[in-house]
Amino acid sequence: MIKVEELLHSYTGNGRYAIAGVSFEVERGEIFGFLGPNGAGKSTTQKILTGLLPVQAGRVAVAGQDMRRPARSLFNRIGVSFENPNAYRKLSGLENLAFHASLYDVPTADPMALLRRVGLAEAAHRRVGTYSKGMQQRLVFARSLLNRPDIWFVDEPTAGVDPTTTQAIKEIVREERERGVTVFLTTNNMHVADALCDRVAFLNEGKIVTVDSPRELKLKYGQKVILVEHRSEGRLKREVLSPLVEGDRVELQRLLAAGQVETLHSQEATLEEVFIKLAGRGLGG
Amino acid sequence: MLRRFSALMGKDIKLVVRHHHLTIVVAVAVLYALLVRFFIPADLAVEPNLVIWDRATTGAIAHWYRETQPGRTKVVDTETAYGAALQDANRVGVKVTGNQIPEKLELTFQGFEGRRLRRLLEATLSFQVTAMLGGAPPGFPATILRPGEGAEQPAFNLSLVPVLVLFEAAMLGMLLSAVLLFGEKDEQTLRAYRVSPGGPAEYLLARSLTMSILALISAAVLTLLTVGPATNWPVILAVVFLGSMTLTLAAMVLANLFRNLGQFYVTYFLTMLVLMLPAAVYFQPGVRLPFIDLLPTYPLVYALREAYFPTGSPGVMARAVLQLLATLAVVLPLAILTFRRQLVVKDV
Ligand SMILES: Nc1ncnc2c1ncn2[C@@H]1O[C@H](COP(=O)(O)OP(=O)(O)OP(=O)(O)O)[C@@H](O)[C@H]1O
Ligand SMILES: [Mg+2]
Repeated sequence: MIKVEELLHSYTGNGRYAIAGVSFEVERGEIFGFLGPNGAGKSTTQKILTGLLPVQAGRVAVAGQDMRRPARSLFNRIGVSFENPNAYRKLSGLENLAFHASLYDVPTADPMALLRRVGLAEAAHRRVGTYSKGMQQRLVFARSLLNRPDIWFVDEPTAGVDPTTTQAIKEIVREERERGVTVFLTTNNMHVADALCDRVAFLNEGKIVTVDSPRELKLKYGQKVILVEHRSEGRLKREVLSPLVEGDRVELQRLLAAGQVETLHSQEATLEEVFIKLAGRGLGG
Repeated sequence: MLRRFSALMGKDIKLVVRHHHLTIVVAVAVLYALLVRFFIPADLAVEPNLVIWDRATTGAIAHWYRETQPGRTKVVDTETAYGAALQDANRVGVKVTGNQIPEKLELTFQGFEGRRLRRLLEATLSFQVTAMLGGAPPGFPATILRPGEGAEQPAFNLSLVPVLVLFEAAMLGMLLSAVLLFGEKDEQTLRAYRVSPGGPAEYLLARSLTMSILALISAAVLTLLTVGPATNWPVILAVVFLGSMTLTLAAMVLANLFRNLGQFYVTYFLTMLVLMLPAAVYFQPGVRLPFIDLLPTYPLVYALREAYFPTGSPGVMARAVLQLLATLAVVLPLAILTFRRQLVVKDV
């Protein structure tokens, strides 16, 4: 559904590239996660894919359409949720959705039903200027579903929203996938990515470092470790041992044989660890 | 297309009302009307520049004016010099004939001077001559160079109405449409529009139509409160509508070159300066500027004058409507094309 080849993008035109040769493909009906540290180029990529920024170099096809010259009708099929909540502050939530719904040539969802789905039914008639940031984020998220898109671009839907809403948003993404929607999901929430995505791409400094399923990535980059607490010479000691390292295995066996082990936990690698390893730094850094 | 257009109009009208633009426009119209009705004098005694050709041997009249009002008096002594000096449309000619004493004074008017001004000049001359002759003043046969122009000179305060209507339609319309555009850039709602099937055509048309409605409201308020209800409404509304459409379209394209109002300000100011030149010419009919009649504000102000204060040349209005239509026909596609290009290369 989405095909990107050798995409380059420079904001400054002085040889510095925000996107430095990115290629990937998103299959129909897939949830494709787009991960990477702040400033990696995730939003820039989404803007190019949705026609907000021009294709400077490389090829981008969305639903078979060349994004250098997309037909306006393509926008009947795609939905875009932005990282910044961008709704008319002087209009109510409902007025915002009703206005956008009238822009499409295809049957659209009931704005009130959508507001209910993201928990904004109560606030429907209030001006968006009086919404909290998280409420605005939910509104923009809901707006992107108005035209029941086949291809849905979602940039950081869970940034600044509470855990309950995050859960609700995850649920909605799952439901949309059930409908057969192709989802391009940019997120910095590794739990969301892990729980939802069929595949994720790691972007760093405008380049894709790797693309794979969360499970494969965790196997490839994460390490399974065993956390051991044991008593020796009367003192409690903690050790992190890897079953993959020869010396660690020998040590574990020795501790078990000596009957000194008090607790033993195996720890799964998380996508977060994979992320930190690939990005070379922590989130929010 | 039509559905999108009406959705955009509905949105723009809501924004215009909720940003208090409508209130501002009506308030400014009322303020202008108050100025016209109560603060600007009905008659402004503008004293004309004089060309005096004094053929009476003493040259007493010329002498008196040269002594008392050297700034606005030009004295000539040949027929050709007299005619040449009167090419300047701000001059009134006084030809004095007689032997030793002024016997006959012939006045030459351009045609747009007010009646009051003529009477004022006649009164001064009459007083002078009476003083010199010690007797009854002679008559003042007058020649009018451009008859028709200003045949029905309106009171000075009312003569401002066409310019004020133009000013509000042009200046406020252009400013407010830019304000809305920058608001949408700032809120990034324009981005949301750009990922919908809506294009620049319906967006621009809805915006300029909304602004034209504001301009019509302001023109109506100002007209009702000054000139009154009995006037040439069809022409007034038609030219205000067409002029406002054209000007807001131009303003949108210009404003879209900038990120915010602060950056747009200088350009806006310069544009207004150029667009208001026809208003300056309106007050100084003698001034002739090249290409000034190509500005959309030119036919607008002259058609308005003819509509409010008919001089019996309805052709002015018909020509103005045609010229405004032609300008709009050029500006509209140009605006759509430019707007589309600007939006594609810039991330707004
Ligand atoms: N309008 C712009 N002009 C110039 N540079 C820009 C612009 N927008 C983004 N950039 C730069 O491009 C790079 C990528 O930015 P982008 O917004 O795509 O990052 P991101 O991956 O979405 O980050 P985040 O996680 O913070 O949202 C950054 O270095 C940023 O500074
Ligand atoms: Mg981003």
